[in-house]
Amino acid sequence: MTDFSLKEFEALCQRAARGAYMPWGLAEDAARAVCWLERASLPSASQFVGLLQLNDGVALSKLAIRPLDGRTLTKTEAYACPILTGSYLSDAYQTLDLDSGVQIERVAYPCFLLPFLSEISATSGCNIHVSWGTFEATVNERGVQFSSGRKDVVCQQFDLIQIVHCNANREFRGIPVSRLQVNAGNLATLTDLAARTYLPETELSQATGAGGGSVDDD
Amino acid sequence: MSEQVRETEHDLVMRSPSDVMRLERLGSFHQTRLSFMRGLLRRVVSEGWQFSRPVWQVDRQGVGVAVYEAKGPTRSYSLVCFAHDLDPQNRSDRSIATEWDATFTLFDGVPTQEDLERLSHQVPKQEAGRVSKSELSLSRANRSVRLFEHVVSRLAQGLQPDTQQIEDIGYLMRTTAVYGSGKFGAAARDMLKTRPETSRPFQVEMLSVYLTRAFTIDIVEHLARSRAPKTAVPLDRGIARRLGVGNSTGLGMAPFLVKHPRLVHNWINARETALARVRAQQGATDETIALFHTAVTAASVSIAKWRTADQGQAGRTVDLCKDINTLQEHLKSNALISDYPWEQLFQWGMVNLKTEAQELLVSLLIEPHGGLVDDLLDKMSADHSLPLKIDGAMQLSKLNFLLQTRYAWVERFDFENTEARKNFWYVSENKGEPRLSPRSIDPDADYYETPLDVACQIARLQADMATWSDEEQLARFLLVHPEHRKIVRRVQGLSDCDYSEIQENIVGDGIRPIDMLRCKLSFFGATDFDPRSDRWVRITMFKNAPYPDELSLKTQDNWVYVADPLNR
Repeated sequence: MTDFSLKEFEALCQRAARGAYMPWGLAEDAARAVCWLERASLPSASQFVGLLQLNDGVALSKLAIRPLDGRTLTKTEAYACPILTGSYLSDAYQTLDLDSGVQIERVAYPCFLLPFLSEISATSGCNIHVSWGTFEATVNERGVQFSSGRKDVVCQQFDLIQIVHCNANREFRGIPVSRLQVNAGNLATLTDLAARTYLPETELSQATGAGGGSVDDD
Repeated sequence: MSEQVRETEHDLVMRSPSDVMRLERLGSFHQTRLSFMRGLLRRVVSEGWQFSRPVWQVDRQGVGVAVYEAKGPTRSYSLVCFAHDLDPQNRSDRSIATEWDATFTLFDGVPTQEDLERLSHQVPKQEAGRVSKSELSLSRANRSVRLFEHVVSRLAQGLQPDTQQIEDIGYLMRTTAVYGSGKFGAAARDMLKTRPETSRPFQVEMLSVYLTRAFTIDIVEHLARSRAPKTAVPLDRGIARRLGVGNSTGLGMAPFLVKHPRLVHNWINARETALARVRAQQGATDETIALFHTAVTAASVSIAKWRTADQGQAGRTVDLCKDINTLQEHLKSNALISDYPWEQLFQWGMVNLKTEAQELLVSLLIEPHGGLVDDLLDKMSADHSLPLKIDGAMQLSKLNFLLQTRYAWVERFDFENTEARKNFWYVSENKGEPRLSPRSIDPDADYYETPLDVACQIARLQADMATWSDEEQLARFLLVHPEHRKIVRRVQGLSDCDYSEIQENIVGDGIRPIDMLRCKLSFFGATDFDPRSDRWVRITMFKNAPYPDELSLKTQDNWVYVADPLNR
C-alpha cells in the first residue's frame, strides 16, 4: 500500500482519466468524484480503475445519457459514463423534477453519481434519496447516509437509478479524511494510464526542455 | 499626514488588467515588500523565532546529515539536509537529473533518529522516493562549480574569498526544485492553510530555502576546516550576507501560473491594490520620503551589480540602470512636494521610463508604505484554484456576454493561422519534465497537450457556441461538448478576478515563457535575474538577508537592496 495525500491522489486520478481519453475538464470532475468517495470511506480507487478500464478509448458520444424530459434520462447500447451523467445532473438540476423523482437508465459504476448529487444538494439545500437495486442512501453536501448495506454501493452497472428530494433529517457523519492508502494493483493501473499523457522522450523533445542544449553545471 | 488604510477600496484607481496582464509587463516585475521571502522574515522577526542546528553529522568529505530547527510560537519546523558526494559528471540543474550535491526536506516538528533514518532512504532519491505527511517540502541543490571550491580553498588557506567572484555569482549552491504541497507523499496544503505561519503562499518553501542558505555557509566552512584544521577561518559575515541561494527555474513555473488563476489574481491584485493605495495618498511624510530615497539608492547600487550572460537581459539591465539614473535626477527637482506626490511620480514614470523601470518604480513606491500595505499579504492566498460547480442553468447568451467582456483580448489572435498554435505545452515521460515544443514534433501533440492554451480554448468554445441557439442552457451544450467543461469552469469561476488571466497566446510563435517565470519569481522575492535562454532563468534568493543568528527586532526590513553591500 502507498500512502497519498488526497490532493496528490486527485492529481493522479485526473491524469489517469485523461490517459483513458476523457477531456481534461471531465477528468477534473472524475478526480474530484473519486476524492469525494474516499472522504465518504467508499472504495474509490478500485471502482475508478474499473470505470476507466471499461470506457478506455470509447467515444464519449457513445457514453452520454439522453435527457427525455425533466423526469427521465435514457440510454441505449453501452452503459452511460457516470461522470458525464453526474456532471449533467449537477449542471442541469434546476430543470430536473427532483420533487417527483428522476429515473436514470443504464449507468456504469453508479456510485460515481453520489458526489454530483452531493453537489446538487449543496446548491439546492435539499437532501437527495438515491437508489438502485438493493442500494439505498441519502446524500447531502456533508456526505452520504446509507439505508442499505454500504457494500451494495459497489456495482459495475445498473439499469435503473432513481433520485428524489427527501426531507430526511439524518445524522451525516463527516469524516475528515486527508490521506489514503492505495494498493499496488490499483496504483499500477492508474500510474500506467496517467503515463499515457506523457510524451515519449526523443532527442528533439529533450532539446526543447528548459536547459536543453545549454551548459547547466557551472 | 498619517497614512490610513481605507475601509473601502472602491474608489482606488487600479491599473487595467489589459495593461498589467501582458507578458512584457509581467516579465518586468521586481520584488516588493509583499514578497513571500520578506513576509516570512518579517513574521520570524516579530514573533521572535529561535533557530538552532541540533544535528551536524557530516564527514571530512562533506557527506552526511544536518538538521536546522526553526522554533516559532507554537510549532517547530526542521530542515533535514543530506550532503552527498556527487560525481561532477552527474551535476545538472535540469529536472531530469537523478543526483545532486545536497537534498533536503522540511520536517513538520523535530525529527527523531528514526525519522532521519527513514528520510535518508527517501529524500536523496527526490521524485523517485516517497516521503510522508510529516514532511512539508522536498528539494535539492547543486554547488556552484565557479564559486564553491574557490570559497572552500580560500577559507582553508586562512583567506577570505575574492569579493569580485562573490559579486559575480552570488551563491554557493543553487536549488533546482523545491516541491511542496502534497507531492511525493508530503503533507497537502490543506493541513497548512489553517496555521498562521504557513497560511500565506509558499511560506514552507521560503523557510526551506532560508535554512538551506545557512547550510551552504556551514558546509563550506566545514570543508575548509576539514581540509586545513590549523589554518581555516570562518567566512566573513559581510561577505556571507552577499550570498543568497541560487535557483535554476525552468518551465514548471509557467504552467503553475495558468493552472492557479485565482491565486495569480490574488497576488497581482494585492500588488496593484498596494500601488493604488500609495497613489491615493494626498501627501508624503518626511519619513516615507526618506525611506523612498534610501530604497532608490539601494536598488540603483544593487541592480548595477546584476550579472547575466543573456544579451537581452543585459541590455534591459543597462536600460534599467539608465532609467534609475533618470529617476534619481527627477527626484532632485523636488518631485515629491506637490499634492498626491506618489501619483505624480507614478504618472511621470509611465511617460519617461521603460517597462522594466516602470515596474521597479512600482516596487519602490510601495516600499516605504509598510503600514499602508502590509495587510495585503494576508489576502494573497486562495483556497481553491477555481469554484468547482458549473452553473449549467446559464444561457449561452450570458456566457457569450462574459466572453465578449472578459475575454475580448482573445480576438487579437487568429487561430485559423497555424502559427497561432505553433507550439504546445506537455509533460515529458522523462521524470515528468514540463516542456514547450513545436507541435510538429509529434503527430499526437493535441492528445499530449497540457491545456494551458486558454486563448485557443476560448476561440474553440466560441466557434462551437456559434452553432447553438443563444437561448439554450449551458448544461445541454456541455453534455454534447464535454471538451469545453474545463474552459467554461474557468470563465465562470474567474468572473470576479480581474487579474487572473495572462492576456497572451502562450502557444503562439515567439512566446517567451521566461516572462512568466520572472513574474512568479518576483512574488517570491527573487533578484539577480540571469536568463539562460527564453525558457530558463537563474535567480538569487535571500541575498543580503540576515542569517538566523543575526535576526532581531532591529533587523532592517528592507534587506533586499543595500547601498553599501560589503560594509554594512
